[in-house]
This record gives sequence, C-alpha cells and structure tokens, in this order.
Amino acid sequence: MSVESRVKQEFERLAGEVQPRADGWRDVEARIRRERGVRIARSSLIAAAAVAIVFAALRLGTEQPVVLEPPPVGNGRLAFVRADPATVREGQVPATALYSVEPNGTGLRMLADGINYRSRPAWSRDGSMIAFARGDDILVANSDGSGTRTLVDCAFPTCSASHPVWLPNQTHIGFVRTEGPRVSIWVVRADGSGLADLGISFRQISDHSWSPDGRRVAVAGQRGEDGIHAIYIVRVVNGELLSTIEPPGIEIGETVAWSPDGEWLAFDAFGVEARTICRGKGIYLVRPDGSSVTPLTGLSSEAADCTDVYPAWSPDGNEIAFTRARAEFGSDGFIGDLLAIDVVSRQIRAVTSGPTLDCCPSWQPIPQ
Amino acid sequence: MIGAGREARIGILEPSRARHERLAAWYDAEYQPLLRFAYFLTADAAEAEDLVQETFVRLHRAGERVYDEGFRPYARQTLLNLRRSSLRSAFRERRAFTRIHVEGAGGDPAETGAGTDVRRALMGLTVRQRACLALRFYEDLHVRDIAETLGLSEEAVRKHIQRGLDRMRSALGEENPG
Repeated sequence: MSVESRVKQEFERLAGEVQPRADGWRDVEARIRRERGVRIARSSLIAAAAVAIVFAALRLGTEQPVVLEPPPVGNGRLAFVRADPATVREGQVPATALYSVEPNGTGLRMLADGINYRSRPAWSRDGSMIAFARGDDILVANSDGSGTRTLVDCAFPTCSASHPVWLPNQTHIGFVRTEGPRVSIWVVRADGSGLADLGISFRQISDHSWSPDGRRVAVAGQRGEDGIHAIYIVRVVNGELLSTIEPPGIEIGETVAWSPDGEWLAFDAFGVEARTICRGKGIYLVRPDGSSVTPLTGLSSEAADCTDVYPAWSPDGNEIAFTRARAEFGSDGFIGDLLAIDVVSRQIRAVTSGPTLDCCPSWQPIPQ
Repeated sequence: MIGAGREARIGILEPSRARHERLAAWYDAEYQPLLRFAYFLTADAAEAEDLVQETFVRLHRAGERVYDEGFRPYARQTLLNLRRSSLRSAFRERRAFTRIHVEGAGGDPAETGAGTDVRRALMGLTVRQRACLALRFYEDLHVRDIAETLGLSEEAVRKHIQRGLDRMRSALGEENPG
C-alpha cells in the first residue's frame, strides 16, 4: 500500500476517534463573556488612568517633564543561539551552541555548546559576563565563554529555569522558573546566592524584559485562567499588574524587549490587519502604556514567506537586532539569519547569513 | 428624544448580538469539521476541544472582519496559529519531548495516541505538514484550495506535502521515489 493511502487511512481512523461535545457552545460563550469582562475592566482602568493624568496635568500646570539621559554605553558584540537546522524538529531538542559576533558580522566566536533553543542569552550591564540557559539550569560565563559555572541548578520535572535577564542593578539575574503548573519570575545574585521568588506568576511566560530603572517588568505570556496571550507590565516590588498590552488587530508573539531609554517596548507579533514584510510575524514597537503601536519591519501588500522574531535593542538604542526565519518555526530545514534595523531610518542590514538557524540575539553593552 | 436615544442604544447593541448569533450559526455548522481538523493536528481530544473553543473566541474578537465566505480559511488559519503558538512554549516543548522520547519508547500506546507506526510517524511531522496532508488526503482538497485555506502559497503547500510524505516514508522504512 502506498504511503499516500496509509496516510489517508490513518486520518480516517483519527476522524473516527473524534467525539464532539454536545455542550461545547456553552463553554465558548463562557470564554467570550470572561474575555469581555477582562476587556471592560481594562477599559475602565484606562479611562480612570486618563482622568488621573488629566487632573495631574492640570495641577502640575507648566511644570516641565524630567528627561533622563540614556546611559553612556556603546554597542559591543551580539550573542546568539545557533542551531543546526537538520536537528530542528517539533518536540525534539536541536543541537545548539552559543556564539558571539561583531555587529557587522565579522569575528564569529563560539562561547558554549548545548545551550537552550529559544531562550536568549543575557549580557551583564558592563558586558563582561553572559548568562544563558542549558538544560534546566542557568549558567554564567565570561564574555569570551571561559569560566562557565552553574548559577541555578534545576532538575526537570521538579523544576526548570530559563530566560535569564541581567537586571539593571548589575548584581542580580532574573529568570523564569517552571515548577509543575507554576511559572514565575525569580531572581538570583550573580554569585549564586540570594535565590528568591518575586511572586510574579503566570500561566505561561515566553519572555520577559525589565525597565531600565528595574521597577517594572514586561512579560510576554498568558496570565490567569482567561489564557489571553499579551504583554503584561508588572510592578516588580509587589507583582501589581500595571497594564496589559494587547493591541487590536495584532496577535502578540512571544518576545518583548524594553528599550534602553525606557520609552518603548519592541515585540514580535502577527499583524491581522496590517501585514509586515513577512507573512509570519513582524517586529513592532509600542509605548509601555500600550499606545503608539508601530510596525517596525515595514508593511507590504506582498508578504514574503518569513517571520521576524526575538527583537534585541542595541545598548545605544539606535538599532534592533532580530531573527528573520525563512521557513516554519520548528520545522525541518528551518533557517534564519540575524538582521539589524535602524529604528529611525528603518534600514535593515544583515549581520549573519548561511544555512543555519541564528536565533535569540542579545547585544553586549560596552561602558564608555 | 427618548426614541432617538433608544435607537442609538439598539444601534450600539445590535452589531454585537448579530455577531454573536452569526458565530453561533457558524459553530453549529463548522464545529465538527474544525474539531476533526484540530484532532488531526493534536491527536489529543482535550487539546483539540480547547483549540476549537479558543478559535471561536478569536473569531468573536475579530468581529466584522470575518465574512461568511472567509470563515473557513480564517478559522483554520487561526486554529493552526494557535496550535503552533502553543507548541512553541518551552513547557509544552518539554512535555512533547518527554512524550516522544520517554513514553514513545516504552509508554502505553493507547494513552499516548500512538497506536500505530503510521500514527507515530504522522505525529512526528510538523504542524503545517500535518495540516496540509489532512486537507489533501482526508478532505481531498487541491493544492490551490489548501493554499487558500491555510493562507500559504501553492509552492509552500506542495513543499509541505512533499516533505511530509518523504518523512512518512522514511519513518515507515519505505524508499522515497526518485
């Protein structure tokens, strides 16, 4: 029997196993009501905030806003995860290694192997160290890959640690810890001491990025039972939800990055109404209050078969590095390059190219 | 004035009610084919049901942007994106990895839904490959119709079908033609 016939036969067998529910529509209605309630509550909060801002403006009169100067840092190397496309397959762990490269694509250097796919590395604020996830653990190494040591030791299925982020205070690293159904943000000192749960729990976290003042964290994920995937701005000190970013006409993706000046968030998303250059996801910008949603990687009526993911700001805030993938995320033969886009001119340039999957960039700060 | 105000309120409420009723009609007509499609992608009854329900919530959110003639492709693309999105979460990836490598090696086939070699090979394909094969070989759609349904180019559909079949042959120990 041909493979086509066997496939057809198996689908018919699968179809015979489907058991439709008689009361499914009631559950759909309940979900819609729940989502509507969340939206109404959110709108009320926004309205209340708007009123408060107006009153504050009236009371402040002509007081000038405080403008914070961006920190004096330069752009160092780009660290990223390189995966062998032949090993990228759903449900399997691909062969990966941590690399760094100059922003112009020269000086490629391998820093560590066997690191986690889709968990971006994180440079320390002075650019001298790098944190990354391997297996279920968080590790740190010197910027050249030497001196690797385990910072957080987890053991699946008891727990799993991923998505390290070096905090603005330079002394701590934030990370996502999964333990059973609980997914939450923890911190640990760079010397491995002071492990602590921040009490910021989600149903699912795909990425997190901290404001430059370290007071807020932007989380891309699902919060609570409603299961809405959005970007949530949370106050670090008490876990208070400050705002939810879920712009209409956009399906929020998995990654988020706070700009060095704290004014913008970069994220990846599917544009339902406005397509970006890629048929898949594009890179967008939004203010931390959810306003001024802007597609960054351009709009096109003839979208190409690609997807833009994992935005990473340059330390000077002028560029965003990202991965442009050219096939299905997670499929065989998947390849992707690192690109960088100038935030003002929107000019895109290549950083890496070749038959590999270069993902999840992180830009090294160089103190001036 | 009272009448005008009432009309204005009805004007605000009516589209919402109409949208809801239209969604209910779509649900009656399309729930079973969508559930079947979701089950083809997941081989997990609870997950398939969850995907279909979430798809209808997204359709409700999309509101007036979805028309009758565009409902089927929009629903299937939404479902496919939801499935792919859910697969990307690290936790699910881990769980899938465990299922394939631990349970798949010695687990209960009835429990894992991997009752046959063909089933196991089918579930080893990517989501898009599986979706394309389902529409081609179960629903007998032509490449052009599959492309329209899934929002892909015809070339991409051909590629997904070809690669899917090649991987199936490889997994089943058959030789690839040519």
